[in-house]
Amino acid sequence: MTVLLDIAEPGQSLRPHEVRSEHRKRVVGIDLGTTFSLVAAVDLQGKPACIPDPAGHVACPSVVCYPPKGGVVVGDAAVVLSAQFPADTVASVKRTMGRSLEDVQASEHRTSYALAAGDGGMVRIITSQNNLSPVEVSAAILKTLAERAEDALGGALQGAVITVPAYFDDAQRQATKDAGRLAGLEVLRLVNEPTAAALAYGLDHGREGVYAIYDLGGGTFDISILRLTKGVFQVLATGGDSALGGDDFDHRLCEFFFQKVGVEKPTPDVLQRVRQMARSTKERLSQEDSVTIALELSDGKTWEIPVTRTHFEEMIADLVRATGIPCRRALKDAGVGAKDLQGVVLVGGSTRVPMVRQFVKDVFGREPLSDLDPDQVVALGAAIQAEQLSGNATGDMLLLDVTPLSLGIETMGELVEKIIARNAPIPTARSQDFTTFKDGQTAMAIHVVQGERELVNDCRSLARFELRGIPPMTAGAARIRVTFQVDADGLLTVSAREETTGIEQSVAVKPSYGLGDAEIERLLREAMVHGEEDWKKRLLHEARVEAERVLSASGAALREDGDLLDEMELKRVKASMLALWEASQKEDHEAINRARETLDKETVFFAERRMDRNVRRVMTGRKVDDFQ
Amino acid sequence: MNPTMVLCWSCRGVVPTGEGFCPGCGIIQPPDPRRDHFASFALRPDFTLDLAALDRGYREQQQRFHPDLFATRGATERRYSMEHVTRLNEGYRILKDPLLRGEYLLKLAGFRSQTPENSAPSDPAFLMEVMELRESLEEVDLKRGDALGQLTRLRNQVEEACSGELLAMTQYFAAWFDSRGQGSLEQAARHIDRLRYFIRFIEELDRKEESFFS
Repeated sequence: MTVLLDIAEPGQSLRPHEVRSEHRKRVVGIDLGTTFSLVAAVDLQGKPACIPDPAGHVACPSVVCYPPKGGVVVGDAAVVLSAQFPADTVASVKRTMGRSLEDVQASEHRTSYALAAGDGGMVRIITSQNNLSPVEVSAAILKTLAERAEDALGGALQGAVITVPAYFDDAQRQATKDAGRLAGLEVLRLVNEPTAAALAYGLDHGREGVYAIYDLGGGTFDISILRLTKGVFQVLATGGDSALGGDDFDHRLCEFFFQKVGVEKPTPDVLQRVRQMARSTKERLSQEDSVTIALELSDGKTWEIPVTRTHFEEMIADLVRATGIPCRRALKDAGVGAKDLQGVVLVGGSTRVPMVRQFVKDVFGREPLSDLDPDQVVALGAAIQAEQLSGNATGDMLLLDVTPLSLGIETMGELVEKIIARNAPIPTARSQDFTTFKDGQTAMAIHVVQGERELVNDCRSLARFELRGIPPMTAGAARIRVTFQVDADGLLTVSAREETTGIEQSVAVKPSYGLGDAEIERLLREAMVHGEEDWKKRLLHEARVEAERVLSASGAALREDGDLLDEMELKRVKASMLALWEASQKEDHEAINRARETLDKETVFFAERRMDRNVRRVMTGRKVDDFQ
Repeated sequence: MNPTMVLCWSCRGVVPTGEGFCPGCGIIQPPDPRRDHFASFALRPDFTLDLAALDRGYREQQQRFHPDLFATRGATERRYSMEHVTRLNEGYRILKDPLLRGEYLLKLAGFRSQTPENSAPSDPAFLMEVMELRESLEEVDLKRGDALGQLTRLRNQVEEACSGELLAMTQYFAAWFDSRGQGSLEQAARHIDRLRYFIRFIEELDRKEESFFS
């Protein structure tokens, strides 16, 4: 065998800037958050940046509206529609991912939309249009972000990294991956949110040492302890609460408002309004010492309710304190003390609350770092990881993550036998031998659970399956080896094998909480059927967005420099603007684009004159020397 | 009989056993299941271990084999990468922890413990010591103000006992590596058993302490 070509040593392939742009893959990082979602990509210089929508906003509210007459509206527009269709607007869907109806109802949250139980008790969302799984709602958000990114990157996406709370269990991770598939994305990897944040931080600053990442988002809390050494991000321990976040702060304020006005069962629209009011009150109380809200009820009566920061802090004190236990446990699991930390990084919008900052400072005994935008840092880190996984960049950076919760199986007396301990680095595999407990027993039920508690009922049930065909033997003679394999996404596969006969059963743990493969296929097929319709809708949407942009830019130009035009010219420009506005109210995207081009042409000379004037403005009052 | 070379699954070129990558085509090879965990990190098998060297070796090996580096490769390469890293993670877990490292060394030396894993200590004096410790732990009343102080005192006492066992293990393993005398291994095994009891005790203490906080 002759090797004539230069063979690169493994791990020594092209440096990031050597990947030619036509070979770069279009990949993104997506932070699929409880209240907001973001999409980010890495530019040719290797810098990650969040991609804004046409209005310039990077944060897309994780709100999806299914208006009664059809269609799906995501983001800011859905927030606007939520006032009109509160029962058809889904917010904070992340709280329901991979959860049963029972789980969701156990939380103290009220939803303005109706919930029901689906297959295996899994929660479904009922709107007047349809009956949806949380996976479908999340997919709608992912699709919107993917389209935004495709517009910015100029073509179909070739892969995405989606972030999940580190403390998400297997069912929640599986549901998130399913949502990605349903949105038509190739999910390169699920990455834990605090780890992604660390990536953005570490690369930005070339930091080394042990760091704690305190991530309090809208609906989830994570704490991760990481060691950064020469580009290797090693997660030492992680912990948290997958149902605790800023939403809970809002919720406490809502309850307070309802109690003040004496409303026990608010209508969906009142609930919706009060919730938005609570959120803005919380945000303002991060800056101000007291806030007074005005609430108008359906009976026309207006209430004015003052809230002080001190009072708000009393309402949320127990929630904030509840984050302390996972922090102490994570430090202990990592085998480090607070004094060994190089720094504590704040992630998530809820870390803007002053009480949270003070609490973090008290727990870790130091001032936390927050020099990157806590809302964006997770998406930025995810983009960096997507770039690595796609082969666009082969830096020396590497993420070594862990599984957040112990995995085990049920044994006699409803006890849990742990097979993989929490905070085990992934990928990982462990086996444990079990035996039969009755003479002649030919089958064995295997119940896979996740959690730290000792009783099965206190842990999350992930899957049940049966190993059949064990040859009849005396009790205790069979040797059944159960193997757990957790892959790099943190997803579990369990297999069981009777060693004397080699009989084997294996299941990818696809809990009843996720969508089955068949269901995903059906939904994808339906999406194809509606594909053409969707495409037209999208073109129309794009044409309207562009028309709006041109109209508002022209309006601003006329306000500033309208005096540069004579009366006739002004009339012509205004007529073209009116024609474009009229076209944008109709459904024909081609007509809209034609009207826009006409306006563009009509304003070329206007733009030239404005340019001249601006150049003269800048030069006025300066000597020629200043320009040499 | 260990073959010293195998054929590359991809280019069919010759690969020396234990090489992670084919010298001919550079493609990842399956891990060698006979290789011990010390060898995976280029460490000499010993109970005394340079933990910084272990960490360094772990990082270096991850930077060669981690699945993230093979995300765009074919299914076989991805599987081998996962197998390598699964082994690395297992080895790291075992070597990092003195108890697991001691047990692993016994296994490598072909030593079989006389006492089954979950049985009570056979040494009556030690049995008494363990029972007394358990009683003291049970007597700690979490409702009392000095409960945390009591737990900390108990913890310090047992951690000191652990250090003693570790020291003994270090000495007996060193003696075994010098002379390969079976007696040293038996002594090492005895101290490993004792260490295991103490560590289980600390785990129980942890649980009690955690229930105090939550």
